[in-house]
Amino acid sequence: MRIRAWRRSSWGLSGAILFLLYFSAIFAPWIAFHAPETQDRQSPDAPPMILHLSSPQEWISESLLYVHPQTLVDPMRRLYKVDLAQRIPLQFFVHGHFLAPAPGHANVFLLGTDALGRDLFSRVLFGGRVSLSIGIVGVVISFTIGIFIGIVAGYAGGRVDHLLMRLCEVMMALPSFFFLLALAAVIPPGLSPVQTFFILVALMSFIRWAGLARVLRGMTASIRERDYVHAARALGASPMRIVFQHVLPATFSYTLVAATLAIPGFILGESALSLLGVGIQEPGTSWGALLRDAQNLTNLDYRPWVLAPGILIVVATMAFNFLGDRLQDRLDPQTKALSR
Amino acid sequence: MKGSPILQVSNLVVDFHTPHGVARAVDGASFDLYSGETLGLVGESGSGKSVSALSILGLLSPSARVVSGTIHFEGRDLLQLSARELRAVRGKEIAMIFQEPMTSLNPLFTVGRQVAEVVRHHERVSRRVAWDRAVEMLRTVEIPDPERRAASYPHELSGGMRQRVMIAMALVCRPKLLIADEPTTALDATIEAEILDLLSEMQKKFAMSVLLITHDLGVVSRRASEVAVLYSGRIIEQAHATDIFMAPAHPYTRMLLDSLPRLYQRHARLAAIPGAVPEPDKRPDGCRFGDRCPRVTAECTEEEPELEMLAGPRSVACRHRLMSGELL
Repeated sequence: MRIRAWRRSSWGLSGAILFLLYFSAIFAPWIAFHAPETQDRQSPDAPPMILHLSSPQEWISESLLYVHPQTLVDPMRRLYKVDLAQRIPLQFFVHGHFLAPAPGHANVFLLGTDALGRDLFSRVLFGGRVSLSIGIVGVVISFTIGIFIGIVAGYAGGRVDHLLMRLCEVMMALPSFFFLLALAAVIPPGLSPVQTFFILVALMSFIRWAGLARVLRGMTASIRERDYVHAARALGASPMRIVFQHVLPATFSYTLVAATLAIPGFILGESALSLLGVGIQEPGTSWGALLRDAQNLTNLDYRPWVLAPGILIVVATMAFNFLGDRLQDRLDPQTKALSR
Repeated sequence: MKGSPILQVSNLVVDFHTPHGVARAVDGASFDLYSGETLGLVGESGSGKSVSALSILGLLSPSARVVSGTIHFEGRDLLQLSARELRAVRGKEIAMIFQEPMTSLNPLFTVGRQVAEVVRHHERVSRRVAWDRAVEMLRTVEIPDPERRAASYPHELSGGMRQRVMIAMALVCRPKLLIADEPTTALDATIEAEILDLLSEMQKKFAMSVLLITHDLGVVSRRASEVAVLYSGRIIEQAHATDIFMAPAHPYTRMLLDSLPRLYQRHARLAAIPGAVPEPDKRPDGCRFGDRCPRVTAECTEEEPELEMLAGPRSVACRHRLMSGELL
């Protein structure tokens, strides 16, 4: 009972989480305190600053939230001292930002900084742009290919079908991650992060269409033999019209669910490539690229907050999976009956 | 008296390529349909009546091939048309309705949209105009409250209503020829009569010719002006409906009629034709009805009888035809 209620609520929960993630990625410049590549040499490897809530009487006169400033006391061991006597007030909707420290206080790092003194909170927000959009762009490209090939194969049948399905099998038999790794490794250096991004998405998309193509091929082959398709053909419908009128609408709900469930694959794929250093290059960043700092055990031990982008990857992936599950329950009458 | 035939099928031969070899489903079928008339194409299962109808519109499955023959529709040989030209004929000049009204409509769309879609296959009109035409057509096929019904999904309609929608889809572009492939087989008897009445009414209204395919002689007797009897892929007799029913000339036709139940012969056992239609690859030598015919002679098994034109006009393919009123 409790699990069922939780599953039902996870519909709204995953939606809210995804909305929040995408909203903050889109409005990253408005939310972030710093530009992602701004370096503060005075604050390398700073720990996160803890947000404090002011007492209610200060809400109007001072601010709702504040942090205590911290100063580097031991540059060798990167030790910081928090000055509890002072406060840096954080104000909402000032200086064209959602939340910003009071003027004169630039060195506020909510999630700490990396070795170059770059603000992790800002970098996570900007990195989310890459990680979150790669799933959408990737699914759009790979599903366009998959839908096209699947429908052509299923509708044409015969030799065309045979040829395309063998191609799918070859694609599916490729050890895709290693193949991707090899391809990504030869992306020429010196490309802008945007160019690298699109090359990465294209590479991943061209490897991942085969599964969908096979399913759609089967669905198309079955739909084209339905009585209503025969009737449409008898009344002069062209193959194009049959595809758009009968095949695509009938496969839509499956495709939608499959797309939602395919997005995490792209997010994880990009993260893995960037983590291994063949994905998004400096100065661009993504959640996977940020996680490179967490590869070192000592670093992880002293500065566990570098795992923050990893947590976001897990959260985003789970949210998409839950959303996909819920969509499937909604759209598929059989599982709907099961869950009742 | 009659004009020229609107549809003229001559020596149609259709092969099916199966894993077990080639099966000749239609083996030299010929029949004519005159403008404004209804031709009933009758035959048992497997006699090739549906295959003949599908080959008219080029809708045969990929495993089937038209080997030879011609299908002339208003002077054009439909078998020579390109796929694109054929599509322009389908639904616009020749329309077809099928047996299964339950599954012949897409469950995902409203019936109004599906009728409108046919208009948009053939004419460049806006959705709005197509929709209005669809509603008008639904009214013509006597669907009550067509504005509201047009917005219904197929599952909300009864079988009879769905068949009316199918008829509306077929007729919305005013075809000259309607091929009805067992249009009432899946319906119950009262609805069957309504649908057949509707078809005759539409035929009059739009001056259509109808090719009515059925295995039900009762349906044919009331609706068709001309009847062609198919047996094992070939027409064995074609004549006016009255001639066929009053004075069948081919023993097979006679036996078919004798196998119909009669109201006044309650206690008589129904006459059945012994055996079954031969498989396409196991047809006997000579006359294909030879192995089931009571009048068979040695001559019959040697050479297949040709379809002969007789007075009436009627045509029969039998050496030992029955005289008018003769019983077997």
